[in-house]
Amino acid sequence: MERENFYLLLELQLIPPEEDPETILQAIKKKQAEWGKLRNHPTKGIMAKQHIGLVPEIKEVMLDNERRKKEAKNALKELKKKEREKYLTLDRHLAIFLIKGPVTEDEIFRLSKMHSISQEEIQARLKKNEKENFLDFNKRRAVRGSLSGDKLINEIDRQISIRMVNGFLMEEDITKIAKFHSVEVDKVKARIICPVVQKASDAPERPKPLDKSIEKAITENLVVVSKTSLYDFLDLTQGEDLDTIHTAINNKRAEILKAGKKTAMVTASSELAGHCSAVFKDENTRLAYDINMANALLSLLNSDIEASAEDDTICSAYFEVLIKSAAEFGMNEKEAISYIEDYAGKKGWKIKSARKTKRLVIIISIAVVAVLFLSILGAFSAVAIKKNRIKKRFQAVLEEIETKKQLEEKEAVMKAYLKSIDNKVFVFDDAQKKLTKIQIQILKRNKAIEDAYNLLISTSEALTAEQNYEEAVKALSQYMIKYPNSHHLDDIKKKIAEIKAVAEVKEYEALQKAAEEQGADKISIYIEFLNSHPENKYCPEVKKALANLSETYYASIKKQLTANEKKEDWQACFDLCNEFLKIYPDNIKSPEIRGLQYFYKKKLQE
Amino acid sequence: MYMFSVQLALIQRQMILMSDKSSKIFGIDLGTTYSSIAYVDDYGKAVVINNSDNIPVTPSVVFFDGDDIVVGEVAKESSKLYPSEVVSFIKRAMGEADYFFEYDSKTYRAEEISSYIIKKVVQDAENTVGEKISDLVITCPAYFGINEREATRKAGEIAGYTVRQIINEPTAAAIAYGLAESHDERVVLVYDLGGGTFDITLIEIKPESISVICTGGDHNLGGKDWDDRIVAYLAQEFQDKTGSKEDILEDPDTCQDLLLIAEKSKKILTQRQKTPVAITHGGEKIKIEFEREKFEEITTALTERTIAFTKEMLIEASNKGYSDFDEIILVGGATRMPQITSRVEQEFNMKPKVFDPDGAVAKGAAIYGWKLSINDDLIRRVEKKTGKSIDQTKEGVGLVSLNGEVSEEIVSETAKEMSEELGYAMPAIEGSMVKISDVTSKSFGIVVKNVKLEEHVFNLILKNTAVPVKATKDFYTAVDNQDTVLIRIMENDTNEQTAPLDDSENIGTAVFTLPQGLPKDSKILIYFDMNSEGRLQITAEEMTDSRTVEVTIETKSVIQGEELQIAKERSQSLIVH
Repeated sequence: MERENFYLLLELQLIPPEEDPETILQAIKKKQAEWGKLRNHPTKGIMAKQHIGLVPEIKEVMLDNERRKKEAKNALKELKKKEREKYLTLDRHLAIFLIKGPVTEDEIFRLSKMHSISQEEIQARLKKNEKENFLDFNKRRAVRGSLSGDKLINEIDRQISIRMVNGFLMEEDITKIAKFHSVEVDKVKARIICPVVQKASDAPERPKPLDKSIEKAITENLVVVSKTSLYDFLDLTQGEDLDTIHTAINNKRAEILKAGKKTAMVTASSELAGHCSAVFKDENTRLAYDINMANALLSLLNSDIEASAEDDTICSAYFEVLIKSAAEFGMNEKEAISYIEDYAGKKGWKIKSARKTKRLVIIISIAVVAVLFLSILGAFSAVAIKKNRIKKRFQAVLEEIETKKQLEEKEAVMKAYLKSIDNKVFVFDDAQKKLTKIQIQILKRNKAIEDAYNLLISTSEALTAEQNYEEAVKALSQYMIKYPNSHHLDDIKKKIAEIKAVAEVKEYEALQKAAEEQGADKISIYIEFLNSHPENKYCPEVKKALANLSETYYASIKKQLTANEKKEDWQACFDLCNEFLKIYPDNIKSPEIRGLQYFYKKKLQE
Repeated sequence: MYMFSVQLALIQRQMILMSDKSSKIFGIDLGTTYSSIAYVDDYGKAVVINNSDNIPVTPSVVFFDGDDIVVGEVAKESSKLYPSEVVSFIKRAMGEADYFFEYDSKTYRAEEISSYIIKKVVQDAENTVGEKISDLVITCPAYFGINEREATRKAGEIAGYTVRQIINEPTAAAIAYGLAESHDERVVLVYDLGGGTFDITLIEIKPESISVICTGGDHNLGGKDWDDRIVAYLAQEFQDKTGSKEDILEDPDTCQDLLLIAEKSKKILTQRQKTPVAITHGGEKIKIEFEREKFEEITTALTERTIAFTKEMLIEASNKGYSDFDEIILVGGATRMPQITSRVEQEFNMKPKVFDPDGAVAKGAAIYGWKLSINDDLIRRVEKKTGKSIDQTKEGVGLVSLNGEVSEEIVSETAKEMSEELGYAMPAIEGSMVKISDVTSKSFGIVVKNVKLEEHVFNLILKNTAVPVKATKDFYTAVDNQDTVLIRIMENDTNEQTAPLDDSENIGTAVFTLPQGLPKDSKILIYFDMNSEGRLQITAEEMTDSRTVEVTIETKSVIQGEELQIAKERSQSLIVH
């Protein structure tokens, strides 16, 4: 960084220049105190440290007559330069306004607010221009296409950088740059590190932008080390690959570490090295930084656009000027228009432009022609569409019929469809044929059902006569499953009930007979009956009979339990209890047996 | 940087020997943002002493309130209302020749302001322990140069205390860690990120010794920088949300307010993913939700700097034969940030341990001080018993025969007597003999001219050399009867024999007054003698007649002379609140 002028730094009088050593020392002391207080300021700390570090040199220069005189002379030059820099952006904007005519008071007010320069100063600037004519917009240089060597490379890099503002480049951008500078496309491509796409819709997701506070910190540190970008800090160009950059970062760090003096320059360099590690971590973070750089390059153009907007509108004259202004940045007309419209759009500003009006007329004309054409086309299309619609509906009806399981349902769907269409419609005959087909199927089916029913009756009667009640019921049930729509279902159900009733009586009679036989194990018989005929209407009687035998059964169980306990056959004991409880779950003896069952279970678990 | 064996500064030792019993030595962690004090209690345990607010750490903030000096939390809170009367982060200005703080037409150097902080923590400790404190061990970053260390020592002296030793913060942390953990041999990487400084040190811990292998860092990188990033971010957010282009940090009140908010937010984000922040300036107020993700995004570059320093240091360590380490310990309040733990783990594929971030350094300093006092006593007793003097300049002095006249048995016997009398266990006495070796964090040399008569620095002592260390260099007189030789003493960070002048810091000028009548080309031998504390002594010898040359060192980087006297007088009459 070029050393600051000490007269300006100490805010000493310049005309005539202060020469009293005592006054100078007091000024140094005053500034030292100020810088001391800023030593740990979050953003001004580095500069304060730098200034503190300059104190020995300040004293050396300012207390030496010859060197002090030279310093005073340089201070005046420095002030003029600062004045020019102060008005640099203001002059740009005044030049834009002057193109359309005299600068209005509103415009002066707006510029005053934008640049924090008083209106009187701006008025004075305009008056000065009347004599010297320095606010000539046409004096601005556009990008030249006749560069060579390093200047050419730098300009190509700048053009690439400006177009990278969205995070990618289009193939046509590369071609434009190559054509403008009369170089091969491959030469331009070799310098590109961002994604390149054919069209904007193919563009990858834009990386997360670099935080503004970080951007600021990087910029401030770059000023301290007199560099323009992190690439410049690493002594590289923007087109280098990441590996090269990482090597450069390591080398830079090694260089910084060797510095024994912890000056502001060293501290700023160390901070920048840290930023490099973060920014150049991968291609994504690098691209975010490159986009930031692109935005920074266009900051002057952006300020031109900002200055041109009045009441959220950019007038036609200014729009034309801005397009020309963009040429300074290497943009052609189409690119310039796109950029300015995009910028204004984001701010919510309107652009009043003759170009835009002309474009609007063309668009409307095209729209009218298109509507007429479409109307004619539509008329011809209507007929075709109607026919197609009828066909589609018929098809849908046929598909719906396929989904129905019952023939009667299919018949109903088709009947409803035929009712809904005119008999002159071209699908009517086909639909009618389909209905007829369904109805024939119904008739055939019904005949089959009748035939099957007749057969069933004779079969079931035969089986019943043989006392094969089960088979008879089975046959009847199968008919019901097979022909769920038969109108004989009620008769069949009645038949089944009759057969069952007869069967139950027979079963019970058989039971009674079996139980009355000498030596019969009534309990087993009853249990077996209950298990085999759980639906028999005589089950309650059987259960009652069984209950009457519970005492006998209980006694028998107990004997068996005692025998098994002696053998410690706990499983057999448990099973016996289980059997009793199955038969007599709520008998008076059931709680006792349950208790024993629990005891045997515990024994088994031991 | 510090070889602790039984070597002590001669004068200090004599003072101790005059008393019957050695005085307790307290350890102070003089931090950029927070300071603390510790001692070893009667049970042999290192304990941090709470301040008057009953908190173990005291903000290193000084408020000039009329005739009063206020240090600590009250000063910190006052910074919001009186930003021009409050000084923070003074440690960063230590050793800077041209820094001063002006208040009420008086100027205060960094050493004097630091002395107020020392005085405050000591006063509070005296009230707690109920005894007068006179002797201190004060820590400083390993990466401090000679001027900064000297300034730290001066700060203690201005406060009115005897500074027994200045030791490195990572070394102190390693002492505390070595005693707290198991007794296995291991190599430990100490990552010390404090409020204002960063030290990275590789230390070998053995049962009988703690040796620093290599050190690196930056004494302008610490938690404060993370706060500064937050402040810059919040200021930007204010601009974006209000549309104002004003730099709100120009206003000292707003700036101070944001600094306090930043510190609070940083601490909250250690536990939570986000925190609400309100920014007020010029009658406008905005509220934002500050998220941990954003915080880590804006501070990544700072974390990467610490990793870069670590990698650089490890390269140097590998040159010394240490290519691996067993553990990583994190010391310093700023290591609480989750991004530090995760980044360190990611880089070195090892989960770091957070070791007592706020207390390790003070405790280590206290243990070191305790060892000093035990050793003092032991040596005093041996000398009394034998009537012999123990050579303090010898290295490796411990339970080993000294000068061939004091046997190991006598030393052991004396140690046992001491143990019985004072109640310390024998291992504790023997433990005080644990050798602690350090290295120099800088290279030191002098300005010479090469064959092209261009000036550069010739390094006599290289960075990361174990201390104490000696080096010599020949000079020749330029003319007949030359009466003086001026030698510029330089400090730098390179590891090479020569270094560019621009990369080196002038730490002083040695003026050699030569004997009369020396012919031209007379050989003068210059000795650089760096002791265990990192203090450099320069002597010279004229080789023709072997006469000693008188040397004085002038430096403006550390308070001295009249300035020092004024500071001491001011301190004596001052009560620090």
